[in-house]
Amino acid sequence: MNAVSKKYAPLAPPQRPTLRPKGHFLLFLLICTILGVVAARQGKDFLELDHNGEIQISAQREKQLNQRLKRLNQAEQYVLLAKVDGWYPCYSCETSDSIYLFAGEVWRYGVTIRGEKGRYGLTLKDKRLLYVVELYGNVSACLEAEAIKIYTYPKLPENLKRTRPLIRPPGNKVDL
Amino acid sequence: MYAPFVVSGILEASIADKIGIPNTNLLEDALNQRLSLSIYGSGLTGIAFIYIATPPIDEIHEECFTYSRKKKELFIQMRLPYDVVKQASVAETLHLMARSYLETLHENLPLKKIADFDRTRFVQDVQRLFETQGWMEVQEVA
Repeated sequence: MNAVSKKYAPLAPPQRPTLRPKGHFLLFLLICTILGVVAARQGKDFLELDHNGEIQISAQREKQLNQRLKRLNQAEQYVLLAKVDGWYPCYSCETSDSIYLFAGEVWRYGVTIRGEKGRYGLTLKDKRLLYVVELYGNVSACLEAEAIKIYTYPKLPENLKRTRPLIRPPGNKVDL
Repeated sequence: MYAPFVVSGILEASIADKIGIPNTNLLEDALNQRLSLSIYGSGLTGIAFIYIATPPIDEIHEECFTYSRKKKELFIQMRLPYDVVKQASVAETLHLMARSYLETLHENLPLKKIADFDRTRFVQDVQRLFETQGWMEVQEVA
């Protein structure tokens, strides 16, 4: 082709934008419909009508409530004790992030209820600690016992003998 | 884990002194000083064994035997019979703990797919260690 013919060569027709295939749009609509139905069902499954036509929580939801109440009545207050003499993390030390504990001394007080996430034993495998249950009962009684133990910790003999007695156990980061 | 072999307990306060500080440390020290997991292969680098010794009302702590392929660690929680421990002496409890440790490994290790680990030889060596220590003699609890 010479320069003249190149100059006047017809331009390629403009490309039409490619239309989305019809099938994709229908699939999109179908997915939205399914999600909408599921959402609608989710929105209503915690309420139902009793035989008098009155609204009450669903049987499934009531079952969940009862399980929660049962767990709250199956609580325990525990203490984590040093298993061996050595250095342990200290969250309540003013001038250091670790403290030397002797075997049997308190590292932390706590409360747990059944079903809480996390295995308590996992703490034991990373720190040289023993988990000792001091009280079984409902969560209220256990929280009360825990508070008393934390607040009265300063007067324990193991703490009084220290040059700088601690306000709370080394493993308890805050008061309750 | 702070050591290849970790032994600890979730204990009720009244019996904690039988299991806790003397006995868990005895087991742990013997295992760490006499055995090395690396000679059985590369599949296991740590075993944590947590004894649960709490009364039947405790439904919070459950038995488990889990293997982390990523960490190459075994995490075990096993119950000791609470009523038996309550009546046993410290020495009798140690024997009970040793037997429980061995039986747990013997029954559950074959159920875990741990690549490159000679579990048969390992369990035999644990048994031999406990026997050498005198912890496998049958003790009649009064």
